Amino acid sequence: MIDIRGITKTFDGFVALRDVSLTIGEGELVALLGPSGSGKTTLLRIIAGLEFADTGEIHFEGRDATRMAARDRRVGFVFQHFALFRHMTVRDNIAFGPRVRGRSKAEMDERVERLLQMVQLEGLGHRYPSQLSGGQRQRVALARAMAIEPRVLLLDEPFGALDAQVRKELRRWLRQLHDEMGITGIFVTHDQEEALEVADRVVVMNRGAIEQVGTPTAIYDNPATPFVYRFLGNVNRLPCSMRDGFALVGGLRMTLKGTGSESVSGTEGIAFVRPHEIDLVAEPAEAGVPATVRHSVVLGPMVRVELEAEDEGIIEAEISRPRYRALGFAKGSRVRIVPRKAEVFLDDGRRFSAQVLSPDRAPRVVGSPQG
Amino acid sequence: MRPRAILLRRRSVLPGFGLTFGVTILYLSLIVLVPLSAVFVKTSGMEWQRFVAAVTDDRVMAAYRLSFGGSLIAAAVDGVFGLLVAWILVRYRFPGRRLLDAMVDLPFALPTAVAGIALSAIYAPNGWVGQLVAPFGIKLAFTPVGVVIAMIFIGLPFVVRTVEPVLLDIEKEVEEAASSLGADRLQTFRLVLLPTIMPALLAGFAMAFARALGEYGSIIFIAGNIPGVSEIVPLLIVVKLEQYDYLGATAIAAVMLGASFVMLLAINLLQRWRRARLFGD
Repeated sequence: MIDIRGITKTFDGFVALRDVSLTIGEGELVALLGPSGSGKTTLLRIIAGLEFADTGEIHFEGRDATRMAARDRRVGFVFQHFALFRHMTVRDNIAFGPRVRGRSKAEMDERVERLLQMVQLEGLGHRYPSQLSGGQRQRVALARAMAIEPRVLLLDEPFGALDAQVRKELRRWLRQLHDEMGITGIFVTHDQEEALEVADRVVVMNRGAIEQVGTPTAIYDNPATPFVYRFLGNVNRLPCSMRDGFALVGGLRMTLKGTGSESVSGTEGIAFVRPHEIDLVAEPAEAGVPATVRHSVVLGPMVRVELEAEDEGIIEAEISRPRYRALGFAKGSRVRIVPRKAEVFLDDGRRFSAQVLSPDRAPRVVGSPQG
Repeated sequence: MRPRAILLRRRSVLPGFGLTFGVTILYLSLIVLVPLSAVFVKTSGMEWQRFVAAVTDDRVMAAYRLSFGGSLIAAAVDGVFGLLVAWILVRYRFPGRRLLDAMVDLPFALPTAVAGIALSAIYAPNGWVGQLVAPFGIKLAFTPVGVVIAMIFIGLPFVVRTVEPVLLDIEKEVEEAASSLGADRLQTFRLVLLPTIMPALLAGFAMAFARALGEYGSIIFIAGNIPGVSEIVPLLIVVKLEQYDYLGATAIAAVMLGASFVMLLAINLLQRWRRARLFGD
């Protein structure tokens, strides 16, 4: 178990981490997800002992490891650009950890053989890193880190330097490996798809702080902050105003859910709407945000329509192909955007889910918000 | 159509290969090959016994010992301190770093005679350094020690400038990887850093050695040039020439030429080994 308590780290006045606390359980595979500069790599490096926190503590299995040197932590670290020893063969690279820890030759050989098998590189042990492909190098780096039998495996953007195909394969393979070996793992990524696909738990970071921690499903379905909402997948932002427990989006009345929602009135906010939760209706219509069709792409059974709304900029909607055909839009068509569901974040920090009740009936319409 | 187009392009990739190659060969012949072969042509006029006698004479043998032995010591010292200087220049940012960086090249740029005069002024018994050690009965200038000092001086930049790019190339992550795998600083240096810079260090060592072997100007001032004690081979050749012993001079020159050739060959092999090691070609 790894216990991170109130870590703060600054670099020359730049705050990389701000009072970060996180607990990682035995055998968990956790993703640190965030844009560049969010502090995720710094956090990983502090766990590895390659960087030291200004304040805060790290405990491994209940023991304070805050000041412990990297080499005493028994932490396997896989670097983004692999950082293999170029003058050593694959075998010597993997054997490095056991070697400097004074293991016997027999034990070393046995372990290297087992790891080569695990990373599916049997027969390539005599090669130099320069003679391997990117994916193979990555697996050597992984085997090398595993050779010290680490209590936790840390991976810094492990698939960042690989091309899309190899990346996908390795991702699946890493997940499988984790399930078989049951090792605790933490990996850093800026790719939300990667995080959601591979990890048991996702830690979303932004500007040196944790925005949300949860399972991939919880994070995707229940984003805690506007940032998480924005960062996980495509999302549209529509300004709205509250009145008597309703959110008014372009004249459309959406019912707010949750405690205290009935009394919400008079505040402004932003409605976050996923592309597949948008419906389009042709003009003339009574409600919805007016927009112009700019572009449309067929993606399997769906059509992604790019729209330009007057004040809100580009909006993306995904509707079914039959629906798209029935609407008969072309480039330049005037339409109305009608969200079915939205997450509303109020300016005062409160947050509600909103939806159009009885979606099979025509949306109820009210006058302008001021009226 | 396509293969033809490629063929045409391939031909135009190296325009005037014949011309440039011809000029290169001519230039090399005039400037390098002809004068050098003259050395061998001249010595080939000697009988074998006279040649052997000329190049194994006691005074000549003593000069070889000084030149080769001194160069070896100097190159070894340069290897250690050159690595240290390169390490400091690459790894640390400190005030005066650029100045130090420029100073490394001084032995390259300085006329050798200037270096020679400066060195002998400092290390002579009445010079700055010389008078510090003189009370202990240690003489630096006008002894083999002085010769080695001058050789160290002129060879240093070769090591620094060959090792520097390789040190710059080493990613910080490689050292971090070693440390997270459990290596201490010494193990990291011995097992990871040193093997990586070793080929460059050896190449720098070989170049410093070759330079020390051929150095003349800066050494003769500080050496004292006592026959059999502090007389280097290049000086001996000049001495022979001044005594109108042209054959003796060229015989020694031929031996030195052979030695230089072997040195350069060794350097080239080292470079190739390094490339093969790191880039797998």
